[in-house]
Amino acid sequence: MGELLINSFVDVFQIENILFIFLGVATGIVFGSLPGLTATVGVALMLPVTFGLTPTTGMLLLLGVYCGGIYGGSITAILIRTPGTPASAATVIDGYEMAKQGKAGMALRIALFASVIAGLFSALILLFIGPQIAKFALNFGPTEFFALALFGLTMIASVSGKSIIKGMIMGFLGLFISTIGIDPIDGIPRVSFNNEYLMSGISLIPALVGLFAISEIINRAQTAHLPNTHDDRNVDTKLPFSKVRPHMKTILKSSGIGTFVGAIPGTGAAIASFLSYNEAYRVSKNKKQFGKGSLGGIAASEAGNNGVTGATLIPLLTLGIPGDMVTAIMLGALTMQGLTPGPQLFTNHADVVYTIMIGLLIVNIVMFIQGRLAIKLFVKITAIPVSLLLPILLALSFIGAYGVNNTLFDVKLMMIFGVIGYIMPKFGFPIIPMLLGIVLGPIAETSFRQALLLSDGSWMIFLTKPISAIFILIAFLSFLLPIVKPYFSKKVENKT
Amino acid sequence: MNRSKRFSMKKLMYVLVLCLAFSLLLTGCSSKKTEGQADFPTQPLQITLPWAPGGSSDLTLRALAEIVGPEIGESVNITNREGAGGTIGIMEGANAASTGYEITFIASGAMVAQPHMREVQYENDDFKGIVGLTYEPVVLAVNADSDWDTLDDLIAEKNSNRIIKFAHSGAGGFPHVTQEAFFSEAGINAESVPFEGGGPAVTALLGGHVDTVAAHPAELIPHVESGDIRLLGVFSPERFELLEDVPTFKEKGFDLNMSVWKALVVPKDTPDDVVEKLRDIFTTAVNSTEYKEFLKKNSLAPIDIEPDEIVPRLNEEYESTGKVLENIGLKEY
Repeated sequence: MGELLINSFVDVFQIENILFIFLGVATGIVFGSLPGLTATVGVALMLPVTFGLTPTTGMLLLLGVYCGGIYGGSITAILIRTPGTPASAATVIDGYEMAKQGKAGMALRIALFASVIAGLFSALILLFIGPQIAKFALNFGPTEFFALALFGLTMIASVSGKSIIKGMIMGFLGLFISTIGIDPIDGIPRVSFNNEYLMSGISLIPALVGLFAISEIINRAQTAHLPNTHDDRNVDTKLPFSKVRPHMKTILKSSGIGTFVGAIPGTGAAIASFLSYNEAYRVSKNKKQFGKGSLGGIAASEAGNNGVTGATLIPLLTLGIPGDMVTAIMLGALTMQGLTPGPQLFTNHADVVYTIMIGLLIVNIVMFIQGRLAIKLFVKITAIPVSLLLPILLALSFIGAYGVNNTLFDVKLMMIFGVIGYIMPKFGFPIIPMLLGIVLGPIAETSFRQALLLSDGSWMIFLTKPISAIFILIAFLSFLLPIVKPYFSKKVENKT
Repeated sequence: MNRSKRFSMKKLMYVLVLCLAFSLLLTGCSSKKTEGQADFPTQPLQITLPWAPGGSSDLTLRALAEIVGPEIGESVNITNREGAGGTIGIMEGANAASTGYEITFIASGAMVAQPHMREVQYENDDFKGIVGLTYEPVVLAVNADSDWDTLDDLIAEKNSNRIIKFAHSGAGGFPHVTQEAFFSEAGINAESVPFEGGGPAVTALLGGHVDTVAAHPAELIPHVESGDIRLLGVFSPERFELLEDVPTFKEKGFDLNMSVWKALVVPKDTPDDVVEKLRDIFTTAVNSTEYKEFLKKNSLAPIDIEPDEIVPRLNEEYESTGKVLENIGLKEY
């Protein structure tokens, strides 16, 4: 093993590997940061390129795009309140607040730092205990998935702002939207009025771009004619390490959550980011800071989503199971090269596997270097006159929404969601819970119904399985405690 | 006043010039079309794939495009148009331009099973066949820790009270229909547990959450090699060449034949001479050593079918699948 590691380490540093890692990460950051163009789109576009490369170089290119893409989503989330990918939706909450306070540079830097640490953490886990984790991840069946999704949905309580009721209304609306289309169990179309496009369901990207980008464009367009009042001179704020240190614990914990979630096939970076944010909020002693520009919030969300990057390769490389779209494409890239991912890959092509895993460490280091340069450039976005920025953003949003499925239907959907995202917050209805509902709804519903099929209709299955029982318990506590606590503390106050 | 009038005159001129240019463009199109028939292809081919990138359909098509492209000196562009079990992409394919440049990739399930289960906006006769690509049988598998070593062990469950939980890639797909039909014919108590795609269903079997799974060989073979999964039977009339030691259900007295096969088609109004050219181009490509090499590496088998048999065969299977679906109560249309 030692010799293999050293050989692989040397292999990574071949010039074409490094070159394609640089290319991949740069492409990824661009794709990730543009609204609508996600890491997945970038990886899919790069797939044909890998056919002409060696398996290792090809995979490193795809991994570069993937990691860069997941990180890149945070840039526009922070600067213009438009998450480039669904995985950075939680970054908007605090990132954009910091940008408004003129601390965009600081927010971007903590996002990069957290992303890189989480990426490295995840890659190391993959390298050293990948196969063991994969075995554990197989314990996640429908029951456990439902418990995890339920746990994720409790985040509604922490992002609802003033009114938890309004948050829940939006959350349920999101869940309702996720039921549109062909029912995952019986294959019957629901709420689709015989429309082929509605039958395939509401795609996440048009919803995301509409809720965030389009609503923000409408909002800003209303004041676009006013001269820019806030001070742009010093947005490139530095981030001293003393400010990072208090959040190291959050970053490491979120990296762990991201890695854990990523290792379970069928989850994804968006869920990891939501769970990490929720956890950071739950343990925080300074909850009021969340939603008003908390460095910890950004760090948790970004470490959570990049923690997924390495871990998602665990089921792919050890079991041959793609956990999401990106890994499905990577599986394709590997099979095209004659390397069938699966248990045999480690025995037959150990050199390739280890080079890929060590390459992932390099990808994250390259991401740090490129990210630092990109921040200097991207932070200037805040200086672009609104009259120029908005049309560009609008055009990009349209392209992004169209590009997901190559259909104008998604563009119309995006505009509808844009109106929802613009109007609802005006009445105090937050939009993040709606997105949570749309992201978690399909997992929650499918796994809930599968679990009941497996248990012959007995609901006890959720409590008799240990992993599921634990998650459901935490879910209940994290939802009920914030509601019950003020009641108890009031009681205490009354007594004294 | 005068100025604005002049401006509107200018505007009118613009509109006129634009109209003229546009009509020229249109005549350009029509002349190109007649030219195209004599000398085809003169522009890139567009192939719509109704499934996501990375799957076995996507890979097969990309491998084929790599071979066809250089051969005809034009690029071959692949568009993934997934959604609603492939029916959206196929619907768009049925409404595509009949120029021969717009080709659709189909899998038999979406043509012969889905239309029985819900309304779709196309039928088999909307298309003309170009080339048959691959053939993937449906295989029944159990976890290696399972008590069932052979198909006979599973058939013997008839008299037990156990409810067998069987996983598959989604309602109405062949892996679902075959298992449903087998368990009902064998008189075994069983419950269908659908997953979103073959991968998740196989994963659930690996994790021990379900009792059986039906899937395609490419999804199962790696796990058979590692010893985690055992194959019990193939739902096709003959044994599959890559899995010679796995018996067919027919051998055990269950006449269930449902294999997925894939093909390229064009809209039915495409001129015959263009169709002939396309058939030549793609038949040469699927007979190339490169393509055969690709299939072998990926546990895929070619399908032996003449291009003009594609649509009649789809119609035939549409009828037979309809009967099976009716027997197990899944036929809605």
